[in-house]
Amino acid sequence: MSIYLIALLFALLGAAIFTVIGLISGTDETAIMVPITLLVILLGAPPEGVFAFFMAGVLAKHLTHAVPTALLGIPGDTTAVPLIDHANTLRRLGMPHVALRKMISGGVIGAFIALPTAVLLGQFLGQFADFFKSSSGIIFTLAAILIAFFSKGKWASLLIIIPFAFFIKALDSVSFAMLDKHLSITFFLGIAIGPMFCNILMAASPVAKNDLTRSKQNQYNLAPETKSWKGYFPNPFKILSKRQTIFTSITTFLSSLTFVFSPVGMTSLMGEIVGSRTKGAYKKSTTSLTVMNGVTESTYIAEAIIPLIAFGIPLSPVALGPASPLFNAPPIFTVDPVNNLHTLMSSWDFFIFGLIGISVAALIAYPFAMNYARKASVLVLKYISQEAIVAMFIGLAFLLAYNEAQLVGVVLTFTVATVGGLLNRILGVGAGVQFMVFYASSWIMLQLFGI
Amino acid sequence: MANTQHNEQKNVDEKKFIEILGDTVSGNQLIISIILSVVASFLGYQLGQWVFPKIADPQMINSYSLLTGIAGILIVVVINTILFKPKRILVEDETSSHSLKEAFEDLQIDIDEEIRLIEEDPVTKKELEDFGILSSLQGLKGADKK
Repeated sequence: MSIYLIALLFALLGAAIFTVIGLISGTDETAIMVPITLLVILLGAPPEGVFAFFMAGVLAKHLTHAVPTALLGIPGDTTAVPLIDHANTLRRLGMPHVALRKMISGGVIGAFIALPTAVLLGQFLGQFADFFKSSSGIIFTLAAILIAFFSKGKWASLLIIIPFAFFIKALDSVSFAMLDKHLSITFFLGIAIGPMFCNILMAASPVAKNDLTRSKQNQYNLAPETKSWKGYFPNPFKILSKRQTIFTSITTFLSSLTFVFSPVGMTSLMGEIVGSRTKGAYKKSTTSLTVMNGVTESTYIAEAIIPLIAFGIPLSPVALGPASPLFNAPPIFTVDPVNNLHTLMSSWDFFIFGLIGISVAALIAYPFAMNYARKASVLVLKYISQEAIVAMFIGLAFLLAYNEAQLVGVVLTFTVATVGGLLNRILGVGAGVQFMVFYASSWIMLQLFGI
Repeated sequence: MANTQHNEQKNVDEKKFIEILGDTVSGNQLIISIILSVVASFLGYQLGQWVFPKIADPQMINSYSLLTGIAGILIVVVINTILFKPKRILVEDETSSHSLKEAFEDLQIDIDEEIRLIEEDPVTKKELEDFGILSSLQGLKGADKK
């Protein structure tokens, strides 16, 4: 079977899975992307297939997570948080479907602008790759300090860098003594599912439970919907006004270049810049939503692709979070030495297979979200319980950890999840900081203690 | 099933829910679903480890076992979905011009100013017309003064 066909099939798979997952609100990006992408890699998918799968998944998820954001007024996931105010304004005005259409049209445009931009920039930065690779230890450490400072935990995040590196190294030494091999997926999974696991632990503790106890069920107000176009596949350029298309194109191009900042930060910034130049509540909200969703998409895609092409080591918030398996999924992909998509695919491959991925996602998720948003959310809200979803992800984490290192792996994952999750939830030390310290831990420990 | 419904009833009576990842769940049901899910993934994986050495390439045994593990998890997702119903209240909103007026007030938007800005811009005006919203907006004209 030709590699293009294989990639196409993986893209279809990614788009289908994440179109559904995107509808489930409040889902944590990292906790969901990491286990599923890891599975695809470990199941032996070729690198091109993995990449097409990932790209299709990312775009599909972002397109459908606009559904809960617009129709229910709850963020589809963390990247949708900055959009909530504008989405709520339109929802209150009885036009949530307008918000939805503007958002996903912006997202599609953002994706198709980000891909070529990111590939070119990655190609350009590639000339400095040797420097980055040879001094990755110190770069990871400096990046950890930088990310820590800009995380929610700020000084607390900075203070725990060394203790957390010590903790990681200690676990690594213990598990190495038991198994005679270094583990990595188990650490990763622990950090990724940490916040979810921490909530479960808190719910199990009579002391901590109060924070999470609710006296009544969450209520969701679902807005009515009308359809305003003929046929199945609406044209995104017709949904947006010319001005919105131009703004989205410019901002998504710019944000594709700033791959070291967080997508949420870029989204808020660009939304603010464009919103402040637009008068009238309706125009302001629709234009901001279009631009913001476009920027989320472009930053996300650029942050995954640029470090992959240029360095092969994860040097951006997305590369450290949801895209981390593309860099590091031993024994198939490794960071030290660099043996991952960076070495296995050319820039041209990234463009072609990325294009396959986002095109498939756009063809599946875009018309789906346009036509069936309301029906799909009713279905999810009425029949899929949160219990089943959380249980599924804990089950997946268990499975992957067990596959890497049996019982040791499982215990290790949940140890990291406990510590990392509590740090995340209580002190605001985000998953990005923790991933970065994980990569930096060997170098830090070597400098401090010579091991 | 009867037992579950009984539990649900009890939970509603006690009004105790726990919020996980932004949604309310019942603590006991969550624990049961997690246990089921973990056990199913373990059994599925072990089944793969037992079956595949006989029929598959040794290199692929772990990958195939992951697949059987996932199959286990997916079966449990279906079971959990049937056993445990979502703890959400779904309210289907209807927008009337009365609630629209309220919304403008809540959002502190000047209706006349908003309509003026929309009417001044032919693109936006046409767009709202196509969505069928323009007329209900125009109906509110001057509503502020009343």
